[in-house]
Amino acid sequence: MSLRRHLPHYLMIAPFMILFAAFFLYPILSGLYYSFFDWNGVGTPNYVGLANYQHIVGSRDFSRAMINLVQYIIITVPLGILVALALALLVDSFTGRWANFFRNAYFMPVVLPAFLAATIWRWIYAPNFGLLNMILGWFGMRSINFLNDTGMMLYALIAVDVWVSAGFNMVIILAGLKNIPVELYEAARLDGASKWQQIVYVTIPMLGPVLFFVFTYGLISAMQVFDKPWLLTGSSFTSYGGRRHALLFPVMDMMGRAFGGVKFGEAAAYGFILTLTIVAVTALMFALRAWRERK
Amino acid sequence: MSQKAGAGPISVWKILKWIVALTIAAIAIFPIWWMINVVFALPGEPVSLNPRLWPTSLSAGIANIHMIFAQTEFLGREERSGRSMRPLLSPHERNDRQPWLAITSRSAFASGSKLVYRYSSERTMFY
Repeated sequence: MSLRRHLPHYLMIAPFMILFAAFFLYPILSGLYYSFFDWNGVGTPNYVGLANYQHIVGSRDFSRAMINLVQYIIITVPLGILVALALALLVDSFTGRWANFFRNAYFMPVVLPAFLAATIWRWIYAPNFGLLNMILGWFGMRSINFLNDTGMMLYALIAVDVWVSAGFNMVIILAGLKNIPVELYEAARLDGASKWQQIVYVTIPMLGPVLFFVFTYGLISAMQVFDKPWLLTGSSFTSYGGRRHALLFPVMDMMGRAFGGVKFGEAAAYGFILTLTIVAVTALMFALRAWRERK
Repeated sequence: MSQKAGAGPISVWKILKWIVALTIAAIAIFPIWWMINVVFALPGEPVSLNPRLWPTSLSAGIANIHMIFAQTEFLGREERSGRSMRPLLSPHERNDRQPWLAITSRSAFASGSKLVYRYSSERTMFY
């Protein structure tokens, strides 16, 4: 009786469920399956149990990639949000066509393909004759090899990343700013609050959910960082991560193992370690938020 | 947020705000503008050695854009393989006295033979 009543509903969601299962669930489960096999992508897979996972966790590249990733996340996520918040406040303080102009200008790097953005920045960072080194030369400073100096490479990547992502986060924060009732600012002004106090005590608390989304999204994106460091270091499947692996990140390592080392089982295991880490961190973020709201 | 630009008298804060906003806009846009300059630069001229704020050659830029369309075969089948090699190797250069090798996106040609090696996209991806 119940099945007959709900059958039209099941039929209506069936096309989505079939496509979801075929193109989403099956690849994930297939990846999980192959993570327990030694497989080169062509021959017969050999069951190796957890050996792929043990090999990855014990490898030096994995440690290096994780250390780089933690350093990258610690700097780039908060910095990206701060820059985006500052840009949103700046744009929000303008009206009319100037507000539109600045919003579009700051958003422009977002629409640029990552490949193109990285290529432009490779030109800018080029040693001796790159734009940035030329500007440094005007001030009598020596040339810096931004993409080959292991002490500078991470910061060079962070600058590109903030340049690219700030516009996207700015638009989201800007939408949040528009939803803050003007009465709150009027009340704050009547109480004698300065502009800075209005930002700290009205804007930021009211932007809480938006900032949480931006932070979580930024964290997930940062954990999957791949294209920009790959292109900035001119990586290939057999040689990646730049000098002394200063810009080696987990997804790059995974790709190198899959297509460079032709170890698809190991790459699948790597993918699962990364996915579980991302899920765990995201769940922790939501749990912390729920706990804070209860408090 | 509170006071919008354009309202009220000009203050130091307002001037500073405009300077900051325009500087950041320049930083955001400049690399893209620089890329356009590179596309529309005279061939063989190193852009970083001679920095400029405007394009120098419209025809060179159009030629660059045409090359991209031709290489990706957007302009039709006649641009494929052998015919698209013409600008690289003239008939004089293609004589057999001097050995030569030309590599396209899908195959490799050498003097004395029509086709040396044809490779698939998968192979170029893996190796």
